[in-house]
Amino acid sequence: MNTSDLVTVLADNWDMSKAETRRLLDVIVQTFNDNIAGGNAFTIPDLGTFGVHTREERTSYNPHYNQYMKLPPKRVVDFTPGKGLKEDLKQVGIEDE
Amino acid sequence: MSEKVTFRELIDAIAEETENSKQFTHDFLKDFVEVINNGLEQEGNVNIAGFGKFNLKKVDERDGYNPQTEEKITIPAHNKIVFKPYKDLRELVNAPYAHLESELIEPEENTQGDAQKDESTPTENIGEDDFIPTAPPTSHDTLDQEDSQKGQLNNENDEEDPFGLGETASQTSSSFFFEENETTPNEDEEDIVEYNNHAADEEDHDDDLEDFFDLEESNPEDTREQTDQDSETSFKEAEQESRESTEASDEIISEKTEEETKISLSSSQDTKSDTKPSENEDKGDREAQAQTAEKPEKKSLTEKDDPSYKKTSPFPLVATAIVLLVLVAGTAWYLGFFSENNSTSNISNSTIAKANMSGQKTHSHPRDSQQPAVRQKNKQKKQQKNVSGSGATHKSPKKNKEITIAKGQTLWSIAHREYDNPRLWPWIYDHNKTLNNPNIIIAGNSLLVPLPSGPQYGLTSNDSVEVAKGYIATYKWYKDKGSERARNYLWAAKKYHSDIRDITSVKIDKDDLAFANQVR
Repeated sequence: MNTSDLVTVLADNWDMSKAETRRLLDVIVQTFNDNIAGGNAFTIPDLGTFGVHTREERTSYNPHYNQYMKLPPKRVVDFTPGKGLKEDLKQVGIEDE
Repeated sequence: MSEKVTFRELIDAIAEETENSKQFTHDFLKDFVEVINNGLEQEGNVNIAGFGKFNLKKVDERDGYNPQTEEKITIPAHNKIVFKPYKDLRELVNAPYAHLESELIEPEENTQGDAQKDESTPTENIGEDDFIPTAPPTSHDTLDQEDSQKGQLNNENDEEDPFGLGETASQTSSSFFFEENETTPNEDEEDIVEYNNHAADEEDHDDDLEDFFDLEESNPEDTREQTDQDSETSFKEAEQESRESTEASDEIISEKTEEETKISLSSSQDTKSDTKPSENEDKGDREAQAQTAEKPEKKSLTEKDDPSYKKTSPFPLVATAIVLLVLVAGTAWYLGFFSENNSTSNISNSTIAKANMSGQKTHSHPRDSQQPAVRQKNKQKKQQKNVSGSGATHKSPKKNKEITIAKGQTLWSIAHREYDNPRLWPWIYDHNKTLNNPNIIIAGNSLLVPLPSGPQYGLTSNDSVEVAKGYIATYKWYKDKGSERARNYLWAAKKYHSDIRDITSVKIDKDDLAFANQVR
């Protein structure tokens, strides 16, 4: 499902034009991004928690070239799905019996 | 990480930005989540531009257990939701570290040596530079220590046996020996090392002790010995206590009673230091003692404790050091006979002699006998082999032969005659810079023919490198002529030495290199 599909559905649900919903979606995403990048974790009910953490510097090894590389520290995004989402989607597509 | 932002705050921010009501944005967001949920359910993925994508991933059934009831359960197969941020978000988040890059850590000599080893033909190709003995420089110094430790360890064994008491024996016998052998230089040192760290006797054997424990424990001992007065008093107390403890040992008392007597005797001493060594004595393993030997040792040393308490002394430590050194020396010898090792064996020989003088036991003797024999072997082999590790840095005397080209001879035929392997002709080609066209040699000219320096006329890695160089030179010549055969020579060069770019400055065409790599 793409952004455009998302926009279509939302526009339909809320009786807004696509352009408008797209703009609104942009703002939402932007807020999310700003907060994540700023290091502020936040939780959306039923969706999940977004956060950040730093991966420490480490030495990686390429066995083919027998090379060691020092990888710099990195800041990455965490996401833990919320209960609602987890429960709903747990058994989707899994054939029981 | 900064504080957590509440949902409400988010809504407030969004509402402000879009000039909608807070209620509206709240509802909208909820619906937004719902749509994502549905999208995941229907299609398994939701991609939001500028943000990231949500995916559903299957997780297989696996075994787990209920931590509360401690019973095993099976976690059924299910889906999990993953979120992968897109580039914009990733870069935004990593902004503080964006300027950093991965660094290649230069391989050490060891690894380079390994690469060269791979290339060598079956001759002994442990180049001198390849083997980086980590221990030898220190081993010279610690060899003494090892010997002394070993000797002491043996002593400890011997001491244990007569009493047959196991641990208690060492403790009791230590004090016993201390009393008896005060004047004997050998055992005295051991005793001092092991049991009598702080007594005045140490002052007498200062030099020896320093030799033995130079590397590891010199400082505490030195500081200890500086305080004469205390050591004297502790010495007296030590004598007292040792006597009393030996009396007790005659009756084969348990450790605990020993401790009691000792503790009662040394009331003036720090109880802490007392109990600590005694606690250590309680432990079954000598290893444990060895490990803790340093701690109670140091502690008691600084506090000038009763020597008889320190049953756990450098003995095991010295012993392990000796064992380590023996191992290192042994591997050094077996690995090969390099000039470095020759000199180390010289030094280690002298250190062993030193250790012998100080009265250490039999372990040094077999080593002594081995060493001269090994060293002779070394010399012989060296003369035979002309070993050199990475040929670049080490120049060993290589033999070359000068021949005059007879009519009808070719490089191929000469190589066949000299090496029994005509394919080594580029080696000759490489050695004679006057040659241009590898196909043409003029009868009557002289050629410098390098001879293989490995044992039994084998090629050393160095020689292989030169053969490869020769092939590369040939490659260059053919390439300059624009011939297609050039890359075949590159392929051949790789056969003799895989990392050809390292050994030559000749410009190698990429395609040719790919061909050479591929066909291999």
